[in-house]
Amino acid sequence: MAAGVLYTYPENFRAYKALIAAQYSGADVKVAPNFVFGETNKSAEFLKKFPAGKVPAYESADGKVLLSESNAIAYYVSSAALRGADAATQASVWQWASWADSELLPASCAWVFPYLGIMQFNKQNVERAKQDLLAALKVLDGHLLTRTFLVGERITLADIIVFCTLIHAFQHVLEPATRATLVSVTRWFNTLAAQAPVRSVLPDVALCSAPPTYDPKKYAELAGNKKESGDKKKEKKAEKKEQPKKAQKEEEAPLEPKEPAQADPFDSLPKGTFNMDDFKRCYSNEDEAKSIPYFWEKFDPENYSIWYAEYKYPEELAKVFMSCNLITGMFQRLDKMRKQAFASVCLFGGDNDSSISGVWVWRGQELAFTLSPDWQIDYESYAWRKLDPAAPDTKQLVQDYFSWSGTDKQGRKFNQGKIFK
Amino acid sequence: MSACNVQVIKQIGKYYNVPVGTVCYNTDKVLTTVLNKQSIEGFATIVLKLASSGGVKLSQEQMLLSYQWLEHLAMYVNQASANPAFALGFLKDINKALEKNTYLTGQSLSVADIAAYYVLYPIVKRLSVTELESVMHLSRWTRHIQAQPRVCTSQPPLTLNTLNLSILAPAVH
Repeated sequence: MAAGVLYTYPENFRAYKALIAAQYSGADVKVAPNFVFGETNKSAEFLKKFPAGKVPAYESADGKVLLSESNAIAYYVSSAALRGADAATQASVWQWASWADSELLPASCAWVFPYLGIMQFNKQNVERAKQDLLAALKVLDGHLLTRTFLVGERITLADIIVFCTLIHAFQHVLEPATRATLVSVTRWFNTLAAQAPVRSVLPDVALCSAPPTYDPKKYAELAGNKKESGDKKKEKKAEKKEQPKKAQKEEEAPLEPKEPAQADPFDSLPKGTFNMDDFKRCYSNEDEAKSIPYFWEKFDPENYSIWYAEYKYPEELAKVFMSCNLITGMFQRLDKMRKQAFASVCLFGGDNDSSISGVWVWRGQELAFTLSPDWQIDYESYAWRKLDPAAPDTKQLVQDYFSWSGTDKQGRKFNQGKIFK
Repeated sequence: MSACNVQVIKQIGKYYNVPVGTVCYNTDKVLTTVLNKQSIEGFATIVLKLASSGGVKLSQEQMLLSYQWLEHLAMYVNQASANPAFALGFLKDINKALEKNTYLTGQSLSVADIAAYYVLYPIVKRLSVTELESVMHLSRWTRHIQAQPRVCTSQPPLTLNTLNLSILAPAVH
């Protein structure tokens, strides 16, 4: 029997392959005590044995067999029954092991890790990974419709390896509705999970009970708030072009009769040289290539200020249209502010994973909302930051928001924008 | 002629390598045998007794689940062997149970699977290819059970051609 030590960090699904195989074969495989990931496997002593410094790694009791790569270790500690009786069976086992590594593992990681906070969430990548994994699982489901186990009529190393590779997906992302479309895979997974040798390594595999949700805080914590290199993609221009036109129409609607009693709260502030109406006209009629330079040319930093606003509770945002209503609702409630203010507020991301932020410009150097009691309904839901008009960062922000491009801090892509004018 | 019959009991006895005693029908037409000078009545009770004397240890839950399946078989299998239309419905119910479970009683091979295999053998055997196609999970299970050691000692395994057919020639032409 292959007695030895397995170096791994706890709850490593790759290490489970060898540990479960050892339970079946009776091989005496012990997990190295006092293993510290990032220290033990970077020590000179460890690297001498395993130059890659990767875990799991296996060292036989006599020190003669040194192995890295989980499938090889699992093979080594397996019994003949697990490996397969003849070359054809062994090859089939190998086929599934390779398939798990090439077809399942990359997609599973790309789908699961963002939800665990190990990887940055990118809607597009997650969707792609989801499609890839589900396509692979469909193949597996077809195979298991007519077979009880992967190879032959008994549990082999193929079952163990594929099972271990799928643990994360079943625990975190394959919610009941998805599992219902993968009946045979789920049947097989549950049977594997219930086997005594598997249970002695993994006593309780709790299957995912609800669709996963992304928690940006988790990633921020784990990644130590690493600064993202937001990949700026300029698209959705077409959609953008259409909307200002609509907004323009609204502007051209018959003027409401003025209420003389109500004075404009902005009247108390000096007018300055920046003509808000002229800029809005330019922004509506011209491309951003013209209107943004126009803005900087005419902007009067003495009497006007630029602000960055970020919605404080992005985790509460669900459907895209609801978030858009949130923005336009705020605009409506701030109607009287329109004359001396301009804003571009954008929604980034999609359903259940989005954020709202915007760039505002108004007369005066202070938060304008305090000027009128009518304007104070929404602004406290946003974090406000005054921007220095001379700073290059500000130029970039204005560029991004006025032209509806770029991404938010989490790298979500621009989805929709609303203009307050 | 009953399907949960003397022959099935003998096959199960052979599988567990235990004596089955003299199996016969008593005056109430109930299957009966005598083991260790003790009279045991009823198909389900006899099968469970054979399993336990064969060294099978069952938890309370497993025992009850097995008993439930054995009773279910004993109750309906006669009608199923007499009436092919009824048989198909009967098999489809079992098929449904085997969709989400690998074995009849859940996640491991039990005495219910062994007994059900022997009881259903003649019924599954006479199914047509298309009928087998409609009970895919049952076919999967049948193939698995008959591949287990000691199951196919007294009769050849069922061919279940449809499984191969569906793989070699899927229904897309």
